[in-house]
Amino acid sequence: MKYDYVIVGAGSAGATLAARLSEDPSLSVLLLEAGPDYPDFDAIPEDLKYGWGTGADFVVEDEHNWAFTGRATPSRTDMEVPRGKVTGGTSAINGQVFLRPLVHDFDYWTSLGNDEWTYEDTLPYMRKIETDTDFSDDYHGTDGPIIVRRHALDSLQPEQSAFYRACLDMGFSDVQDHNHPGATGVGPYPLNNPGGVRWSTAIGYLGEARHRLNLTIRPNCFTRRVLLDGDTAVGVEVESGDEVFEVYGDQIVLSAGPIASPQLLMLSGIGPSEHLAQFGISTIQDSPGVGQGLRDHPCVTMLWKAQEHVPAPPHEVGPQKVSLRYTAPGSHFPDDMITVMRFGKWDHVLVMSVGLYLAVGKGSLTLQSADPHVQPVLDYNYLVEEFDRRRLRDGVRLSLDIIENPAFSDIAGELIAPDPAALRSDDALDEWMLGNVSTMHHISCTAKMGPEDDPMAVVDQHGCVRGVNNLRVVDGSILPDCPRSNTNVPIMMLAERIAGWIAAGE
Amino acid sequence: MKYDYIIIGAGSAGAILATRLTEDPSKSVLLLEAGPDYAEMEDLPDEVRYGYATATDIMTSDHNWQFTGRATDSAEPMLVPRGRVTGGSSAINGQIFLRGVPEDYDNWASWGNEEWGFEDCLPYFRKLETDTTYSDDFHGTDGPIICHRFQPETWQDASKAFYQACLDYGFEDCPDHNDPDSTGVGPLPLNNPNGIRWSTNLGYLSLSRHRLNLTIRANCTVHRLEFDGNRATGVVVESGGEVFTVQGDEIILSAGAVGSPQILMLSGVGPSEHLEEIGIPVVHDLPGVGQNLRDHPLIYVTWRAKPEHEFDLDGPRMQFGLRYTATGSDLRNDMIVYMNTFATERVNRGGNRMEPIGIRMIVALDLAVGSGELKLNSADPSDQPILDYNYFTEEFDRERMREAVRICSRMGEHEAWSDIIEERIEPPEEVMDSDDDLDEWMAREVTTGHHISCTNKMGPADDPMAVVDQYGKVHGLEGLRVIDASIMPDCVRANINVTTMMIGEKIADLIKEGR
Repeated sequence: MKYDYVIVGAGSAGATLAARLSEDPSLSVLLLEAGPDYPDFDAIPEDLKYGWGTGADFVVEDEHNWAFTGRATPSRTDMEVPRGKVTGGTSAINGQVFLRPLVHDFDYWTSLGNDEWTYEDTLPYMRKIETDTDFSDDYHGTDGPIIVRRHALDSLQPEQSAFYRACLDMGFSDVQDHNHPGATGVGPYPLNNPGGVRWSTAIGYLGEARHRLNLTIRPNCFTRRVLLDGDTAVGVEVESGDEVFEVYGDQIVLSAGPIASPQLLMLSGIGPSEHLAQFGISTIQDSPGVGQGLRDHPCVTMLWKAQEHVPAPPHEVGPQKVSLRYTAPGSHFPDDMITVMRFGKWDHVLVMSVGLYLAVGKGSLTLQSADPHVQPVLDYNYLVEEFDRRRLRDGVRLSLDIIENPAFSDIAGELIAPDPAALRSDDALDEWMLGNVSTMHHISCTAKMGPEDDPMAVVDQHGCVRGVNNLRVVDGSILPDCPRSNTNVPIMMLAERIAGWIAAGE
Repeated sequence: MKYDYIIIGAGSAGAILATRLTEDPSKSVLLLEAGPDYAEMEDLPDEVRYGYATATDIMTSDHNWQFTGRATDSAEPMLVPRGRVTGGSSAINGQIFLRGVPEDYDNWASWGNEEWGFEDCLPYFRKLETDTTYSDDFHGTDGPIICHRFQPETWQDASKAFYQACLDYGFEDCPDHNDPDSTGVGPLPLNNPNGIRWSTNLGYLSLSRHRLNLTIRANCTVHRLEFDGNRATGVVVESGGEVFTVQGDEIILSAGAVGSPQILMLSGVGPSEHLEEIGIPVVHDLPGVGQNLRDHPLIYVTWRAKPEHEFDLDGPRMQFGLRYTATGSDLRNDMIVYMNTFATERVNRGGNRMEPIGIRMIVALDLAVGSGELKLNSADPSDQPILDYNYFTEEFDRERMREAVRICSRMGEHEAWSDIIEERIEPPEEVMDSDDDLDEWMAREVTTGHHISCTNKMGPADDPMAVVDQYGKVHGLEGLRVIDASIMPDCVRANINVTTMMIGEKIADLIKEGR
């Protein structure tokens, strides 16, 4: 038996694709997921279901988390890299920030030779994803599978309100809708957690599609490699139970995410041939870009004691996230920075994350072993560029200014991190940042799209792998560059857009 | 996309077929189940998981189709439970793990189904079981379904009294009811190790559900089959409020003795006059579909217990059985009496499974000569068919049942019961003497033994009432089999779960052999 489409990975992209492709009852789709599946909403474990996290922090339990490790910098080599291992993928374990890329991001992708990815072309798909419960206009969707809301200004917790007022006082613009094109400044994040429920693609998309008999969802299936006949993909090799199976499809789609998709390509002989040879993998298609160009949003986290009387947000409210998007002083990238604050219940602290949303430095992903169960080497290689360090230093100092604002006089206590010594010089601050910089969980671009004349492009702008027939990659790994937004929305958008092309026979 | 096999119904036969056919990784199987699926034992609802009584009564659970049937003219509508969950009725049954007598299968063979003699069935009886009590040429030791018998130290007082009363009445001691030559009284073989109902979901699907060539789809209601000429090509299925058509090279109906003939008729395969009457276009005239409905009619003989008698709410309620041959009958072991040590009022008469009214001998006529029929009520697949069990139309059936009731009543007077029995509740004393009075009472009180079968009987092509051949292939059509209790040509002298599982195992092998 042969499916029309075999999709590997039921995450932000894979679940969306599976739901859209199976709208045509004549197309059969097999959706493979390494983690478990929870078809019944009531049976979803709480750490997945509720967006505010059930433990001390936001990281869900290992059963639903690949729990990879990455190298951030030479002085930070054991960074935790959570990725979702459950239907919904990382959309089922993430922070629910429902932010679109900037118009500038699309302009840049287009300038690289991906001319079908303009803002105007993608807007219908960003609208298609969402049911925005706050805004309904030409920019927002009202009947998509993912439900979006913002905490109202008059419902903000004291520390969130202080952050908002301090930023306004410092001259930043008031933003009611961070998803409006051209929005910059401070305001509540759009969040896909109506009623506190993390509205993953498993809930939003598979919830509408899982009854279809032309869609077969198989959880607990670990894909080992793509099966190729010459330069044509014909199936995948999958572990299920303790056995190994081969399943066949007319089209194979890797939606395993920016870590597993390039890993699977390489394990299947598609990647930099010298690197593959080191692991005894014969090259089917020499594709030097696979695993290269790893992008993310590096961030440093600052902590202050919250004053005793400041109430922790009640469980049913969860962490509110008022965020500030701004352009770093002297940067040629508009809105390249995001600062967001949340309340840390575990220690009664204020947590300020300063995120560099368009770093110029890049990392890489390489195999560590030919064993598919061994995670690849994730070298995030943060802050090698002075431009990146400078912007992040500025972000740290801006955060200090925000907390110094009178709006916080009744809220914030002493600074816990960084150590005041780190603030004495650029060098001292760099050292602290290099030892503490962490991922904002937006690894991407490890199998980037691009035109034929870009030797580092792994897929074309429709997601088709160059040099291999019947194989696509559709997930965050094909983004041409990291967007200035959290990556869940752009990944769902690109799956919607590519599904549209596939359905139209393109 | 086209599956190699589409199996309709994940019950005693369907779950086995799905497991055996997917042992070949090149064969793709779609297993459709109308009810829900529980992949892990921990996920099973209590009333499905536990073989003994649970607070939720399986008789009124959502995991039960809750059909109703006609027993006789004078009886109230009878509850007909059938499993609606993966495992089918094996997931809601009484877990009695009894084989028919060899003559049952030898009879099938003698009617032109030569593959089905007892000796040809025996390897499959062995294949399906792990008997934890006996290990010999007649018993299996590594099959998916675990079978045990209660050992003497666990026998309840009422079980012991029954055993003693039967022995003193002159019945033989029967340590193994699955021995082909056995008869008499002894501990029942039961597939409920540690109180867990070991269904075909637990036993078989747990071995196969990880296979990527097996697709199990729960909550899928089949509306009808699709044909291209005389070849079955697909199945029209309702799932989540939408209707889908799935394609298969071969379609296998394992929807049970109610569902399989109903789906055949809804698809235009059945008695043409009846189909026309309902307004269903005839694809193939098969007069036997729905006819020859067989079952084991039951009569309860119940005693009130002494006030000091203690009932175990959570324990087993059936440990012993008596098999014997009725006086003047040439059908060996045609009667079974089950000792129910915790009797409750019927749920449709206001009874509660947790409120004992006494102890009960349940008398089953295990090879009735009368038969009933199944007909469509309408062309709507969600409308249950008319189930006319038509019990006790034959004097031979009534006569054997009367005798059994009187034997049980007499055995209830044995001194072994002196600490347990207060007085008999049913049948009332006033109907015991006259055959007519007893018949009249039995006609009102008779109920189903839950062994509906034979509604698509197998037989050679020259038998106009045969629906399938001995390989389960529907006569006159291509690409379509029926494999479940509906294809039994006659009922067997045993609870039918084991026989239905054996049919699944045996035909799975025949299919693999290309038959």
